[in-house]
Order: sequence, then structure tokens, then C-alpha cells
Amino acid sequence: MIFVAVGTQFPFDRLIQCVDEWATENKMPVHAQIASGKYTPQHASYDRFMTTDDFNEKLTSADLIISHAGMGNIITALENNKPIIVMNRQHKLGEHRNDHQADGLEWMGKLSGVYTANSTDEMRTLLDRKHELHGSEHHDMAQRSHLIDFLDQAINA
Amino acid sequence: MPDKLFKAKKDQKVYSVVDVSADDKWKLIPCALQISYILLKERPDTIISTGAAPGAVAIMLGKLFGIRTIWVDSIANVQKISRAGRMIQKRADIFLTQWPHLSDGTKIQHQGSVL
Repeated sequence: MIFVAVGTQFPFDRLIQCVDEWATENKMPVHAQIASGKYTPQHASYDRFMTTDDFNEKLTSADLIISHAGMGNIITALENNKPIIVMNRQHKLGEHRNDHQADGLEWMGKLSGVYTANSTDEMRTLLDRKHELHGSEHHDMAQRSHLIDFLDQAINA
Repeated sequence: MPDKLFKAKKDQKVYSVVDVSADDKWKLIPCALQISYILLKERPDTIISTGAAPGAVAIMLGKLFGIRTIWVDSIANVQKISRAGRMIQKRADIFLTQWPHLSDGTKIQHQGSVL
């Protein structure tokens, strides 16, 4: 099963429609979280918003995650060792307030287990080679530990 | 996002406030009122925010109420500090970026990252 999620702030119809159409052609089960999107999936099952528990359940039972280029979904996918494909929202298409999601795509793609698409064409290309995508390898958590320790000291100072 | 989707864990208390952005500045007022209410009711020792406009409002109000404030600019901001971050850069007691190249070594510190 593929789980596609666009976050809670904005719709992302371009992504949902692309994945829904690909899944129809390839007879692949998909669950979509579509926020306030106008496009409603024809093939995929969907929710507009989900509780954290429902979200985590769908994520853990999926073998591939597809997402807007938002940090929350990337972190959750990495922590669950699931491969994730992210596509950036585009400011000029009215999909976000600015183009920070495009700016972030380059470094996101360097993370093990994260694949990036900057268009629906690239998304389809990645979906066609879905079986080659793998989850993150062991992550070095030294940076995270350092941040947590620093915040712990700052808060308890 | 509907509020009822948030479920606090046992020892947590969760409030939600109106989201505000550069697109709908008028929401600044209800957002600031809600945050003031929460701060006065809960009297926190520390405010920590990873960003966006409501977080910046909380930092500004926190300073006013004498609460320690920590800003952790989201790791998503890789080319420059976020717009909301730049607004409160001088006010937050501790201001962190998650990218070494965005640190200025003094006020904007890099002390690790979530990934």
C-alpha cells in the first residue's frame, strides 16, 4: 500500500491527482490524506485530516510514503524506515506562500531513504521504479542528541 | 485542521490557537489574545517554538511577560532564516538555526538539528 499525505495547512491537488492516476493505471492500493483539496481521489481511499494514531497506523502499514516536502512527514518516514518520495509545492502555482519547499529539496534528497521529485513527471518516473526504493539506513543521531542536550540545559538553567 | 484531531498524552496539556500568516494578518489579533490568555493562565517558565507566525507572536508576548524564550528555526529553512524567525531574532533569549552555514557564531547559534 502507498500512503500519500499533504499536511494540514494547504491542499496539494497536483500531487494527489498524479498519484491517484498512477495508482489507477498500476492497480496499486493507495490511501491519501488530502486536506482541503478540491480533487477527490477516484481510485484511492482518502481522509481530509487524520488523528495522529490513524496517521501512524497508515504510515506503518504502507511500504512507500509520498508527501509534500514538509519536515514532519519526512522525519516520521525516516524514523519508521519507510522510503519516502517528496514533491515540493510551487509558489507560482499558488501551492504555498513561498518557495522554501523547492529550496529544501536538494538537501532532503541527500538523506538516505528520501527521494525527491520537482514535478509530476519526476514523481511518475520514481513511482515506476518503486520496487528499487528503500527506507533509510541507520541514521546518525548525534546531531539530534546534541540539540536535545542543549535545549535541556537551556530550559533547566 | 479540526481541533478534535489533537489528542494530548496523559501528562500533556494542549491548547490550539488561530493560525496566522502573511496572507491573513488580521488574524494576528485573535491569535495574540489567545496566546496571552494561555501565558497568563499557565505562567510557563519557558516558551520554545520551531516557528511560523503564531510562534513569533508567542515569543514577543513572552518577552513582555518576562518568560524565557527559545526559538529553534525549522530545519526546512536551509537557505535563510525564516521570515517569522527574522522578526523575533533580536528578542528571543536563545535563537537557534539547524544549519551551520546560517549561524553567525554569536546571536544565531547552531547547536545540532533534528536530523
